[in-house]
Amino acid sequence: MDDIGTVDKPSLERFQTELIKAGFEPVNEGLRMWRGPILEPFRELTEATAMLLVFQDGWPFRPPQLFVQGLTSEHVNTVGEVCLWRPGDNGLEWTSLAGLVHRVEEWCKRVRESFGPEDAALDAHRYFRGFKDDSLAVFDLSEFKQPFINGRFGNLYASRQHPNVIAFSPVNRIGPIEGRWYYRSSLPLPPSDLDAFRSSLTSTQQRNFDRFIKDLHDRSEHLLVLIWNRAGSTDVLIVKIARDKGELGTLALAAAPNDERTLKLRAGPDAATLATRRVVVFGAGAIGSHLTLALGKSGVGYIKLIDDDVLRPANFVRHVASSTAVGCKKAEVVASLVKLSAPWASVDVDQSSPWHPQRLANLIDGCDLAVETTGLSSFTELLSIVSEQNSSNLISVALYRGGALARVRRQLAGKDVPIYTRTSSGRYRVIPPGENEEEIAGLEQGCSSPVNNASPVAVETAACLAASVAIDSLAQRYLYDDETIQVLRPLDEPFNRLGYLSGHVVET
Amino acid sequence: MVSLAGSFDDALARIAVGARQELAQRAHKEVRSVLEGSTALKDWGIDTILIGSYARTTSIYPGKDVDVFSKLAKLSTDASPAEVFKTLSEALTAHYEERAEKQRRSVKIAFDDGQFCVDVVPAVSTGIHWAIPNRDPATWSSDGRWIETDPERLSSLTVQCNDKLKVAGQGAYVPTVKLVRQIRECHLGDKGPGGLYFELMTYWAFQSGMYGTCFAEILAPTLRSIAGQLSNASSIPLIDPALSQPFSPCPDSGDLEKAAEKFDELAGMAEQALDAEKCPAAALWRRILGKNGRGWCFTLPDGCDETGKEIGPVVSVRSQGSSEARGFG
Repeated sequence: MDDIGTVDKPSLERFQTELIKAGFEPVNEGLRMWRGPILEPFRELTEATAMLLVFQDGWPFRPPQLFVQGLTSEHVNTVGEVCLWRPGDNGLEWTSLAGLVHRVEEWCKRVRESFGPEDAALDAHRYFRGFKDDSLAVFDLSEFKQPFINGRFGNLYASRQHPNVIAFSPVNRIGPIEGRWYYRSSLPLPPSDLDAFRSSLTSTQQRNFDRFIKDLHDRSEHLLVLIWNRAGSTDVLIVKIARDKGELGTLALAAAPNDERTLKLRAGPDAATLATRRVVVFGAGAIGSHLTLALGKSGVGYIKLIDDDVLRPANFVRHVASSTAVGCKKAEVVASLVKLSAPWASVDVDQSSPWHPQRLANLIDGCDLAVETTGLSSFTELLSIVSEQNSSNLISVALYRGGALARVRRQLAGKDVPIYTRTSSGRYRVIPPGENEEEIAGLEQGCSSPVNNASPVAVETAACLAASVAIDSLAQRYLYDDETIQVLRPLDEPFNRLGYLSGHVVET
Repeated sequence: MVSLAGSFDDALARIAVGARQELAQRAHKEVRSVLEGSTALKDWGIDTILIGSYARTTSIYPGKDVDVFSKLAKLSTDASPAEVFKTLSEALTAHYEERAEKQRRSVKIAFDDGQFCVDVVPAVSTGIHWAIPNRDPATWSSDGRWIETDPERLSSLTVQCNDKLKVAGQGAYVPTVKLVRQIRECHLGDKGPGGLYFELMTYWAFQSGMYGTCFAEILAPTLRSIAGQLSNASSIPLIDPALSQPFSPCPDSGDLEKAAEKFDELAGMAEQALDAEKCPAAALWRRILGKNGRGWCFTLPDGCDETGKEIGPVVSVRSQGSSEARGFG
């Protein structure tokens, strides 16, 4: 399939006609690659007289790739590909030659005047001749001596964790692969080959580098790591090096840091606030497991998980755990999953019965929030009373009517109406019971109650809604009402429309 | 009738030789200086001109061959074609070495790593016109050793014809010749008759009275006229307007017959396109003009697919793309 895949052939042909008028000619039969005179703005940056445009499948939604030789700048990789647009850009500016030229003008201006923070990327391996995006080097930058001082260097040790993953450390002898790391305060551009790597070092570092290269054993892997400041952050180039019959072979690996700072970049904007928050979660079942994991990943610093049930094979359809955990305690499995995904979270597990009021008070004591996910309304009422007595905050979540409705109730101390008083108050919507067929999926051998009919999607939706309300409370924004019902499948009024029902029936 | 002017403009850009027109001029200049460096040729009054479709600007993509006419004004048809050709080829071979390759009556010189060639042919004066060596060197000692020609006259007739009918303020004849040459190239390929034969048929189509305000209106009757000329060619030979004598060499009768059949079909499609809506008309013109090394010559107008159906345009509707925030997934 060499034809360019497109849903808009007219615009593709119109653009290619513009290229022809500008002196471009196709290089291959599929009309994917076009060579033409270099665009004027590039002339002051390179001696090259020609440039290459390569069309990708998905026109007009993906821009053509642009290759220019001889450019020395950020956002140009070692094969000369100029990065003009971020992946996923939906501007369609590239669908006319005027648009392409305009973007190239902007790009060249930024090369002269420096790229802004919105253009920043730490992808040093892509500048190195010979790199693999899918070969990863995993490390924790905080293990290196801090603060970094220009010219510092040291040994490192590495091990292969998967065929395409190498982990390295400057302090722990984690494996048989040896290497060197070097720190420079700044570099004009990431090195493009081993000579440039060496040239970027101080003279003392270069002597160490030369000795290391000289002593390389034939056919064994080694690592070279260069660390420097870039774009207001720290960039790392990791080069795998091996000598084979006297020849040095190099391959740049994609940096894959696993330190907390890096992981928390993906934890969302509330992570810093949540780091000091303590939450106790009652129930590590279907909803509770997803909710606990979501809270941990979002940055909650401490989670206490209360559940004494074990995982059965059928649980895995709706639970966050997988079938390898059959027979394990639900709370312990969830705790280990939280630690794997959110290593900053401290998780305690308590498998004793929470039904004694004093014990319950002890469990919620010292926590900013209790989240109840058991689906047992009797336990919800008990916890509501104990929370009120102890001036503690509570959120309760459950699915109703076979997963048709998800309800999250909040009871903030001194602010919200206690949950145990709501049913009879007349101020809150009552969810009437449905038919048995609606609620019950069937019976399961060895199970002491019928299996609820709620789907995995309903479970995860309820968990996400509860996690959102919990984070809203922990961040003290209080944007949610004290009761939120999400209609996932329409029922009778007032639950006859998909969406959210918030607040009270009668405002007071 | 829909003019599809934008797609015809695109087609003319897509069949144009582009940057090679300039390369042809530079190559000609270089060859001229090499030939003028030869004392013998200088003594024979050498003067070179660009001829052929490049000179008449009727050449089409990829336009790999350029013809250079070496006029030897002080020689007549009394001269020996063998001696003239030998002198010319020696001058070129001495300079271009292996890049110069002797043909039957011309010397081909490779430029641009062989991507582009200049064909140099010697010509002697007949008094009124010019004569070039017979294509068959075996005849070079007989009466038919020189063949009369007048490329300059054909160039001036081309200019005159181009001035008569205009589309959007520009002469319509030369672009029409290019379109016809492309259609011939696409549908006949290596089979005869050649591009010059079709150019001359287009000339006569215009001479018989051509009207129209857009290329669709002009090309359809031109194709019909060409189909007619091809089917009558065995009884009414095509006249070379520069020499006012039948075109020589006459194409193979079998090739003429097949070409007549194909162009009758193409003329029918063109007439159908004149009466069709935008998208079906574009699909027909697209098939008529076919492809070259740059893809389909006749581009699809916005909102049309290749089968002639209407589709939702994407880029023309979203000229600046989406103004929505960037998504994350």
